[in-house]
Amino acid sequence: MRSIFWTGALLTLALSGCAARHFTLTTPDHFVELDERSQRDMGYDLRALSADGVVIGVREIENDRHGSRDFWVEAVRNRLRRDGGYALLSESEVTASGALEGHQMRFGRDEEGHPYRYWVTLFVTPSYIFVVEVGGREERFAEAEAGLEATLATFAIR
Amino acid sequence: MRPARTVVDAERVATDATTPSLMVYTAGFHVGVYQVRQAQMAIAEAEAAAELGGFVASQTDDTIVIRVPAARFYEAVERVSGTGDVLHRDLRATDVSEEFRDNDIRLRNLEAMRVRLEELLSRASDVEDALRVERELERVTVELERLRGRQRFLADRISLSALAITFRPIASESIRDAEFFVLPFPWLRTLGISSLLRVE
Repeated sequence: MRSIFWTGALLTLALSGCAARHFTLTTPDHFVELDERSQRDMGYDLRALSADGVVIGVREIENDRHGSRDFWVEAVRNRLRRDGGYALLSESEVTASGALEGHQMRFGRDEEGHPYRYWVTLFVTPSYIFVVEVGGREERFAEAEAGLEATLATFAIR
Repeated sequence: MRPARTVVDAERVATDATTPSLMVYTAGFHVGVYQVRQAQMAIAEAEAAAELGGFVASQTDDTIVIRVPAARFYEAVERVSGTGDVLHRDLRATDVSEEFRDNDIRLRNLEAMRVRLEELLSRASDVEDALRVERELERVTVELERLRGRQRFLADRISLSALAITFRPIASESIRDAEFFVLPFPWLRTLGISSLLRVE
């Protein structure tokens, strides 16, 4: 009986283990982290949100083409600016936990007359591309901005 | 390429041999903004025009032209650059020293000629002579006025720099740029605020 239990447990662990995150991020206290499995179905490895609609999302993508950080930064910048209708408001190098270097782009866009803010931060290793997205309605985003910056600084790769 | 002087007095500049190069500074911007009205107001009302001692020269739905003192040209350029996503920027400095001083010399010669013609006219012995001198006097006067107008125009352009800013409202997500090369990485196409905020 015990062996059946452990076999089942190991099988469950193996099935979920193949999708184990290779990063950590400490979300703000007033955010709720959404169900991991359902988020993964939607392309996110982590998603957390505040009650008033500011959302943090992290995607972990295999860097199987071994693109450099510059390549992915330009790809994301082009996709959002030229193809997505976003205005690039600023961009800068950022440092996360453990002196991890990343590149952050801050975008803005209007949707049905409402201004939105959208930050994309990229951390690239030879194996993975980590895309950390933060967004929300401008007025709500502005209130949470300091906390979001602190959250991004907690990002670490395992 | 820094502006050297703020106010240009056409006569004083032309007679001052030590005057540095006379430059006309202009700038053109295409700025992508997602809040067009706010960006225009920022430039038109406070940020770029009034605070810099300038004014709005013209304004349409998507373009605004401001004039600012030449000494504050680069300050204005920096402010405009901060209003949105600068897609294109064209800064120009045109040296008009030679034209300005040539015009001044021609003005002096023509003025001297006019004085001589007026003297000749007063001494004209018959109607035919008088008519001939008057025709020449008219020609000189017209040329004088044309040159004075040109000098005033140049002095204005030297003292006040022009910045033309065209705002491009950011296109909606559904509009595709045909020249944009789509990379074969599907996750790139799922980036965006709409995907991020869709949590249901």
